[in-house]
Amino acid sequence: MAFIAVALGTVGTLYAAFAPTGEASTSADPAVQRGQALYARGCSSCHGLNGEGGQRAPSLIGVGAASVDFQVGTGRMPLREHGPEAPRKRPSYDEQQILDLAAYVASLGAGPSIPSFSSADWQKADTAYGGALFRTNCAQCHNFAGSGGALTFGKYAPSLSKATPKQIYEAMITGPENMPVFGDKEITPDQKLAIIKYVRTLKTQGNPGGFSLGQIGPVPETMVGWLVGIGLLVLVTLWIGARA
Amino acid sequence: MSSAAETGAKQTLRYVDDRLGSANFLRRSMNKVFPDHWSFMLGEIALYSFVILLLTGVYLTLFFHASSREVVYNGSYGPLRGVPMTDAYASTLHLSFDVRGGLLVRQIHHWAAVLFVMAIVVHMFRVFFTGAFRKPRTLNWHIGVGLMILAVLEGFAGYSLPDDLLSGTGIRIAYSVMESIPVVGTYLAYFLFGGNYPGQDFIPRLFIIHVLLVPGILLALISAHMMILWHQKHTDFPGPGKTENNVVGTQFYPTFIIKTNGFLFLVFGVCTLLATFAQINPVWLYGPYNPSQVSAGSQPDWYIFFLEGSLRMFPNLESNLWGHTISWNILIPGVILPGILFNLIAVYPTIEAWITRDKAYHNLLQRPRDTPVRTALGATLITFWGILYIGGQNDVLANTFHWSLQATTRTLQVLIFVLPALAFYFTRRVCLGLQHHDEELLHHGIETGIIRRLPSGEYIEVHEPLPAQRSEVLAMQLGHDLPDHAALSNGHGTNGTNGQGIARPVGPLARARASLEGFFFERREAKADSEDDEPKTLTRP
Amino acid sequence: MSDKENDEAPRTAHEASGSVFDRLKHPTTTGGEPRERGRTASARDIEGEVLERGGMAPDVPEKVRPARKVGRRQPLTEKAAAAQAAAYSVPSDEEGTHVVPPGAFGVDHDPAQVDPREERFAEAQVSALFALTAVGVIVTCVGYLVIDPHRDLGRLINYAIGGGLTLALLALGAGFCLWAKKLLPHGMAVQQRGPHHSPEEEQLASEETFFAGVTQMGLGSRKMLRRSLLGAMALLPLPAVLLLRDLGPLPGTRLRHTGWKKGSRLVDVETKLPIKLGDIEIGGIATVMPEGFGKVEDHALAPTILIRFAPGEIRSKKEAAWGANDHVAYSKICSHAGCPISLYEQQTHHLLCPCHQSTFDMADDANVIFGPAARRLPQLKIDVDADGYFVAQGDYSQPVGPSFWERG
Repeated sequence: MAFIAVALGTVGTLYAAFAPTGEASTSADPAVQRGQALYARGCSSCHGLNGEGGQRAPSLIGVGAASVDFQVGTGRMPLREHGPEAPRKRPSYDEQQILDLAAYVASLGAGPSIPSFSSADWQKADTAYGGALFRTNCAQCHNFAGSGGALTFGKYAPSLSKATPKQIYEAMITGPENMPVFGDKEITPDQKLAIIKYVRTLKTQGNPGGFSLGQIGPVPETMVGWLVGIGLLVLVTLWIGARA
Repeated sequence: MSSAAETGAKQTLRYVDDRLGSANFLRRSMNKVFPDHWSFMLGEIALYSFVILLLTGVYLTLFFHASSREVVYNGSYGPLRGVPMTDAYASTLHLSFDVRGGLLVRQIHHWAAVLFVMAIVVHMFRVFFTGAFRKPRTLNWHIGVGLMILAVLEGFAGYSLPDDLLSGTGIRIAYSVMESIPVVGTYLAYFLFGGNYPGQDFIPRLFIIHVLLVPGILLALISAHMMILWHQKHTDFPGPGKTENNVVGTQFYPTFIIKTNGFLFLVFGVCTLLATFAQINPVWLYGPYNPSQVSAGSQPDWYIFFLEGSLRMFPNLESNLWGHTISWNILIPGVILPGILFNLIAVYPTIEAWITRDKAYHNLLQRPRDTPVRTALGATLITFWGILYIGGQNDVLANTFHWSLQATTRTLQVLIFVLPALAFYFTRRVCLGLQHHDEELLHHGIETGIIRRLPSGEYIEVHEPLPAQRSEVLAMQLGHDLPDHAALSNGHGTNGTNGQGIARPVGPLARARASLEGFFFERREAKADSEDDEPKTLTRP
Repeated sequence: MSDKENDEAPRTAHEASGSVFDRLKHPTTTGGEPRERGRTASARDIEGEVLERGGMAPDVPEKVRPARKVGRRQPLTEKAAAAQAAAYSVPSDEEGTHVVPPGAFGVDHDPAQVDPREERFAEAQVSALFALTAVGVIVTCVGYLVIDPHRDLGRLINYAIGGGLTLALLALGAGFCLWAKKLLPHGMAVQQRGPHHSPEEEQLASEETFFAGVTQMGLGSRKMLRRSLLGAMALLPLPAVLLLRDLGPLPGTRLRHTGWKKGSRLVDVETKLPIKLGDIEIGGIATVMPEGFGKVEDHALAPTILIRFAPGEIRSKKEAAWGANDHVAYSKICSHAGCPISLYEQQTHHLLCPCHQSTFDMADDANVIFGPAARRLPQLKIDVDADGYFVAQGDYSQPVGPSFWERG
């Protein structure tokens, strides 16, 4: 947990170098003011009174609204305890509060803003193209079906099954925690929507071959093979072998 | 049976016998006796899985195109429509989504393959731990080990054929393992794949290996396995009326054949059950193979786990000598280790017979506890293999339980030395303990819980002697019917002296054998409280 | 060909045979001394030998198999014990099966003793199971014909066909087993095992026949024949090996080339568009191929990952020098077993291989910090051209991917 703090800190410092220093501007925007109040209560103990970061948490100057919306919207922030990976949990704030917080953090320094697209936008994207992009850019960590996978030293790439389209988009543009950033010039917004379409399709299309067994490859299949296959057949041999 | 049918059957039998003289053979076969024990049916699971594999496999070949030609998928599975892929992968998708029942048959085939190898392994455990591999069945053990290795190869070839992203990753590793072989490795890989990985030639070649070459050898070896079994008659556990010279059980016809037929359908039924309700190898999710892509948690099928594990756990050694590179980090875990493991398993019967000077025929089985050292060796091997097996899936475990991936590997690297040793020690202790318990039961009978006070004031617990039949069987299980090993006039002591204490020349091999013999034949302490001055007994290997 | 004059002829086959190896060298005439060419004898010729016994088969009595009843066992009677004793006391013939009366070996159950009502119930059970099989088959057929095969990706038809088949097979199997268990006689037949080996005289006779043949072939004595034959046989596989030569090209230097050339632009593997400076964000990665690569399958060693660091994050001087503007390019093919690796952690700069978990520190010239990989990933020298696109400065300076013997 130390190194993640350090790592987060490193990024934070970098942003801090470019970000305006001193007191946060007192904005007239009511959303920013509400957000500042929420921030002071819930976030400032780690991220600093003005989002400048601290020993335990990185600076939030320049991370942008998308990052806040993702981190708070997936419940990862506020962090319950330090660990290699912040787990997804139920968000502590409601939707409006998250937008307020995002507005406040966005006012600290420029960063990616919350993407706005409708479900019609991604639903008309090309699934197969999204699949190809997914396998090239995402499957290596999130697994072929978005079921997640292990990373180094206790970190992991989470399952995408609970991620909303907006959160998937935000994750790509902000690169939360150790995820690489996929900027709009590398993977265009249309391509991102295609990836979202593919992930959602995987989630909704069902499993033609029966129960999915977690969609993480042969390990659970093997367990079923031993427990159900060999288990049942051994019971059968016991039944046949037993004298009536 | 109606008289018409009876006449028909008779005529058929006559017709065949008139030409083959088969009546005597037929009658003897029908009267052949098979012993009854549930564990004797484990091999049948493997046999019937193989039958299912042949049936479903033939069906699959009707639709599968073994070709690396690039096509653009245009079938009914939307998320891959328009994607360029090999014909092999496209035809697998076609089979799965556009052939009614195709996916089911593919899944039956895959589940049967998984169960085939599992049943072989479990069957081998049974044969090993009961000593069924001993003379005269040594040859059948060798054939069995060959079958196991071929089954693993066949399975690997089979799941690699669809050319999906997961199996392609496996073939990539297989190519690297081949490359690691000194001197000829690069050439081997080049000749097998027709050049650089992945090439155009491998899928068609693998197909013919999978559907013709290996199944042909499997079929021949299974036939030999069964014929030898038929000829030698099945082993049996000691039991009432059972001796080394008889088989007690069910006649082949009609009872056994009906039963085993039923079992065939049950094995088929379980495979179908799994295939219907448990999705296996969803290649459409993996996507077509592409050498620039990979999925997290890339795993082989279960019987390759141990190799995957050994590759993961082995330290990163590589040496460069006289301009040549030897990558020990692949060569040892990927080639040498399985080579040693399989060879050890294959020659174990010979080693054991050599150490124990056992040249006798054995038709009665031993219980694992009656051979503590063998059982402990088996437990050691299983533990060793089991840790490699877990090593092959440590990323999935790490992800599931949110452990550190690196910590799991480090832990397993330690455990692979510690656990097998512990397994040996504890298994042997448990076996000896169980043996003691049995000896006590045999000599003192069952504890009744009734405490009597003797006139002298001493308290004793009343023991009830075992029923005659049970004690007879128990004595047999404990090996009391065997000539005492110590009494065998083998004319040597462990220190190179014979019974009379006269030194005689002993070669290093004989000395090694003598000390190993001592290791196998654990001298058991005579019970301190035994009244009868029985000689010190020895356990059988 | 017999050797009647020899008074010292061996008395038994054993004596005559001696060591088989000796006989290979000195084919038998007598006790095994070197024979003169053209003279031979076999155990069959030796006086007093017991080998002449109606061919080579072991001694099998003409016809002693008793007529036996196979099938339902006799009902339990007081004679059971006597019958059991009889079963053991009567020596069985070679393949003979003795049916032991019920009650023998302490097993009391006997289907013949079963209450007729129970037996009728068992029959009904078995028949019901067979009927279920028929139901299962009908479900399968109807499902196959009626259900839209594309509905739910075929999940529905899979359930119908598979469910029906499962029912049919399990019911059929259970029916058979129940039939055997409840209605057929089972257990308690005894068969004597024959000897596992042939009688000794048979062993000797077959050895004798074999070595007589060896003698006739003259493999032991005709050195020239033997050697020329060995030579011929040793050469025979050569054509087979030669025929395998064209399975593939010789490796040559192919494993050293990846398809990258001086000036090849780095293009995204999926979109095939060249990558410009600034396309990748800090902490971003891309999988790239040389421009105009065609199919990845044709350049399986070429996949490369392009990583962008924040300024100052790269710790290795060489790495920074080979990169351009905080961008570095490394081979995506693992130096251990060749898996494509791109599990990149942008904060720790670890790159993890999903196959065997080798972990590389990308900020320190792809140093191996964990796992079985023995070598760093090779780095591709890159530059930015006049139009701002990333280009390779040449091919990799060392072979990419797993080690091989000729790698050096």
